[in-house]
This record gives sequence, structure tokens and C-alpha cells, in this order.
Amino acid sequence: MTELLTVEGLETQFRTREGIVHAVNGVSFSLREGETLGIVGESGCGKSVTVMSILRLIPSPPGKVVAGKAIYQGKDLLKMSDEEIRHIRGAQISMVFQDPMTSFNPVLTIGRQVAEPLEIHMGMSRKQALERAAEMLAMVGIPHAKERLNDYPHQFSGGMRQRVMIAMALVCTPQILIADEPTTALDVTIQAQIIDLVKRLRDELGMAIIWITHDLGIIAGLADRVAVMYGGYIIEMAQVDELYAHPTHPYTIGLLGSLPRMDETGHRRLVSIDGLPPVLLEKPNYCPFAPRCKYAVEHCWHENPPLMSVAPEHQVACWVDTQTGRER
Amino acid sequence: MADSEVLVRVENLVKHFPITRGIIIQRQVGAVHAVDGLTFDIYKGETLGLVGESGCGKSTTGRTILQLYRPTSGSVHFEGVDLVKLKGEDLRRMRRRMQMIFQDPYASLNPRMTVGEIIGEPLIIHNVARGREVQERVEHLLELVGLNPAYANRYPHEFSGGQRQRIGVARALALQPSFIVCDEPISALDVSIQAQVVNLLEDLQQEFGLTYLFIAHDLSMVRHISNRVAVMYLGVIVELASRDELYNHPLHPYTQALLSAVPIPDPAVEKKRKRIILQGDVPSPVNPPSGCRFRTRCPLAAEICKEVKPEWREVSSGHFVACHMV
Repeated sequence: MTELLTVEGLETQFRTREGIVHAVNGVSFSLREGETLGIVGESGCGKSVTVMSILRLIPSPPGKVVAGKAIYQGKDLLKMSDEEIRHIRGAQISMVFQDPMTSFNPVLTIGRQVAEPLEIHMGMSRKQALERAAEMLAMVGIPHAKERLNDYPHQFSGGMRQRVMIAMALVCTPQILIADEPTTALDVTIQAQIIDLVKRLRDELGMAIIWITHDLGIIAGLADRVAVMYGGYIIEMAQVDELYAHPTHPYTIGLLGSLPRMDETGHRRLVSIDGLPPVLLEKPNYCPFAPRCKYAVEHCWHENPPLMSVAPEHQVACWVDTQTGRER
Repeated sequence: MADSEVLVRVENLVKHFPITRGIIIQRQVGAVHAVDGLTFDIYKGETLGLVGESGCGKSTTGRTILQLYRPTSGSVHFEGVDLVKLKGEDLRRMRRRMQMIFQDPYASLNPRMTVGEIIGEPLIIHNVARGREVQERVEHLLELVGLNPAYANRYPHEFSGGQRQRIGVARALALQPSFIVCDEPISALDVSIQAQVVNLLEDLQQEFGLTYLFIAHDLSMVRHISNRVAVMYLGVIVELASRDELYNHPLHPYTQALLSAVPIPDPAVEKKRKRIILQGDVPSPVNPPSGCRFRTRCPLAAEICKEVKPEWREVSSGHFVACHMV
């Protein structure tokens, strides 16, 4: 499979009153044509900042991408001029945000907002663009799409607004869709509708997806490959079946163990991960998970482990082999 | 569970919030039917899970049981006493026996009070301790919820979400209640922290024989923590059964759809699962559908569902459901 997007050594920092926050500390991954890559992690692990950096959506100041490359079609997105990146955003790589309530302009009609990328990127006339927008809205399951073009965002429910946002993101048939926790604000039955919709559109339009979430359940049914993030690093990466069958990093193991499963019978005590996620005010020269890790050995406190291959397509950043308890 | 002692008996509980129009002369133009006729028991020492989507009235139910909202009609018997009929000092005395843990650990702690003052306040208000004794009780409570007793002099902003929720738990335990309403106590927390708080709640239940009403929208967590589970939709309970019965043999079409929508963290299982995708959104509680509330989204809806409100009946021992098609 060809690689659509290659990210290498991405580092992003934020200047705050307390000091420099090292939000992303050297993240590398690639996205292949037509695949769905899941990025999983808890709040503050850097998953959103990673994709916002790639699309150059980090507010600067206080944020700054200090190192790294993001190669798309032979060009580095991070080095492009503002004009060039604007042609990519919304046309070839587009994004769906978490909060469908605040991501729209409340004073413009839905029709205008969904049609806007077509006018800007495809040079369509307003009339043509609105027609295409109505088709797209119908495709994402908005009833009476044509009449609803003149409605404002507040006239749609949360689930419907998320559908509209997906329509807006896909209206120029991008190659890559980045979805940042798009179902977190929604109820489960609505979440199921949206995931079902995205799967259908993925099969019809054949785009690649980066899906960011904290929910390991959603990823299990949606992604081809998964990257687990912690403290600004990718700490484990594998094919989805492999990751859930053989989680290898102590954090991934802990995360899966701390989830109750709806299909389990009987009662087991949840495995909790003691302690708190790291404060990112300094870039640690040790493993960021070491303070909470029950496998940690001396080495973990002296050197931050890089991603190491443990099986085909399965990499993990840990000095300890969690199966034997021995050092790698 | 059938012969267990009933701690809380809720009968025909209704809570409507008025919608008014006009600034000086307000007249009521309608009502939000937040809770519309609930009847159920909570047994001593159990955890009753209450699940449903946002806006279905589950939090209102919890608050109305504790009389934080006074019900429009219906009764709530707690240890045999009807709370709805109590007022003033009599009600306040009952409040010692029932407490609440709130959803948002950031909004439910007064930022100007120290942790010690927050946890000690109920002891002072209810006159159960004073002076040095309050301090000792606070330190003991902090220890109980897994926090350093020396934290008593700190302020809430110095703590993380999970630690704050522990403070909320300590405050709820201060008066040694027998019944605690947990209103989405973990939904604002990260996954790895959720497990810490749930384990704490389970340990405390064991130690003090607490009874929980556990309100949540996370069906996996509810299965984990509850003995029995009630499913709410648009102000009514549509199904109530013991945990395994409900999850293994859901009867109401809404319960079935809800359970099928929950993702399971296992790709092998996910590949084989069939989802029931419900059409449309939840209707407005201002003007709920006639007959069965779920009929507008129900795949099985028939003519009778429009006309007749389904009866709340026990189909097998301890398994209640309100549906014409079951």
C-alpha cells in the first residue's frame, strides 16, 4: 500500500505562564491509502495537538511546531506557505471536530457553510455549490436536504449537526479525513448512527481516515491500525487485531484492563492505573510512564525508550518485555 | 434479591418543570415532562443502575428522590417515611441518611473553601461534631478515600479531576449515610482514573453497607457496578431487571438498540456484532409522543403504540418492562 501521509519527528510546544508545555515530543507515523488509523489516548496526551499541528491549526502564539516533517504528496505541510496549505485544507485533507455545537458559524445558513469549500476550492458558482451541498447532505442522511439548506445550525440536533459537519468535510471528496473525537459529545445510539455513516462513506468514497478518540471500544470496530499515545509520545502501534489480542506496553495493558466490558459476565475488579498522567512542563529524559508503571526497572528512569519492533507491524516503546518481565 | 429489605420505594413519581412566558406577569404555557410516572424499589445494600441518554430524566430522578427538586406528584418512601410530605427540620434530619455525588468534580466543590472545610461542613451543619473532632473526622475521611490527610488545608484547584471526585465522595460519606445517589460520578474522568474511583465506590459499599443509585450513560460501567439496572427513555423507565437478565435478555426494543450500540473493546467481537441503528432523534420532552414514548423511533411500532400507553408489568420474576410487543 502506498503511503499518503508521512509524519516524522513531530514536536509541538506551548508557551504558558507556568513554562513551556511539551505537548507532542517526536511523533512519527504514516497513513496509507484507504486505511483507517486510530489514535487513542487520554486527555492531554497530545493526540489532538498532533493532527492540529499537521494541518497547521495550532494557534501561534502560544503554540509552535518546533520540529518534524509531515510529507503529503511529496511536500512538507509544515513548510508550506499559508496560501498553499489553504488549498490542501478542506480540499484534500479535511477535519471533523469534537463539538458539533461550537464548530459552526451560528449566523450563516448550513447551505452556505457546506457549499463554501466548493466555491473556494473547486471554483463553483454559488448555485452549483448549493446544489452539490444538498446532494452531500442527503448522502449523510439529512432528510429534506434541499429545504434544510436555508436553516441555521441551531435548528439541527447534535447528531444532525455532526452529520452536517461530516458533509462539509467530505464535500470536496478529500483523500484524508481527520476526525477528532467526533462522537464524544453524542449519545450512544446517535454515536452508532454516525459511525455507521462514516464506515459507509469510507467504502463509497475510499478516503483514508485518522480517527482520534479516548474510547478503545470505538476503535476496535473501526480502525485498521492503532497508535496509542501517552505524554506526547506514541508508545505503542499495531494492527488493530494484534493490539487488542497482544497489548504489550504496560499502559496499553492497563488501559484495556481498566475498561469494563459489556459482554463480560461475573464480576472482576477493574485494574486501575495508579497515579496521574504526567505534567508536560519538562521533556523527560526517562520513560514518561515510568512513575505509574508496575514493570519499571532502573533503565526506565535513565533513558526514554524509542519505538521498537516486537512483531511484524507491531512497535512498542518500552524497555521491559511485559510477558517475561525481563529487560529487552 | 426478592426478599431483601426495601430502602427506597418510589411510586408514580412525576416531575414537570413549568415553561413560563412573560416578564412581570408570568403564565405557564407548557411543561417539560422530565420525569413522568416512575415506580420502582431500591433494596438495601444494592446498587441500582439507572441508564439512559442525555435528557431522558435520569438526573432529575435522582434529585427528585433526594427532594432537591420537589416532585410534582407521587411519593418517595425512605426507610418507610414519605419524604415528599416532610418539610423543614424533619426533612433536613432525613438528609443525613442520603447523600449525593455529583458529575462535575470541577463545579461541585466551592473553590473558596479548603478541602477540610468542604468535607467538615456537613458535620457542623448537622451538629454531629465540633472543633477538634471535625478535624479528626475529616482526616479519617480523607484517608478512607485514598487521599493524604495533610491535604485538608489545600484548595480544590490544587487537585486533579480524579482526586476532586474523591473529595466529593468523602463529603458524601461525612454524615455516614445509608443511601448515596451517584450522578454520573465518573463521566468527567479519564479512563484510567475512572477505574480508580469505581473501585473506591465498591470498597466503600462493602465496608459500610451503602446503597447506591448509580446514574450513568456508560452501559459497560453500569453492568460492572450494578446489581439491577433500570433503563430510562424520555421521562419513563422502559425496562428494569437484574443486571445479567437485562444485558443477556433485553426485552424492550429500546434496551436492545441501546445495548447493541455500545462498542466493545475487542475487534474480534466487534466484527461479528450486528447493530440495531435507531432512526432519528429523541423527541422533545415538552411535547412527548402519545401512547408509548419510544414509538417514533421503534422498529416494531404498531397502531396500538400510538393510542395506548404500555403498561408497566412484571414479565418474569424481577423483570419489568413497558412494551406492547413483549
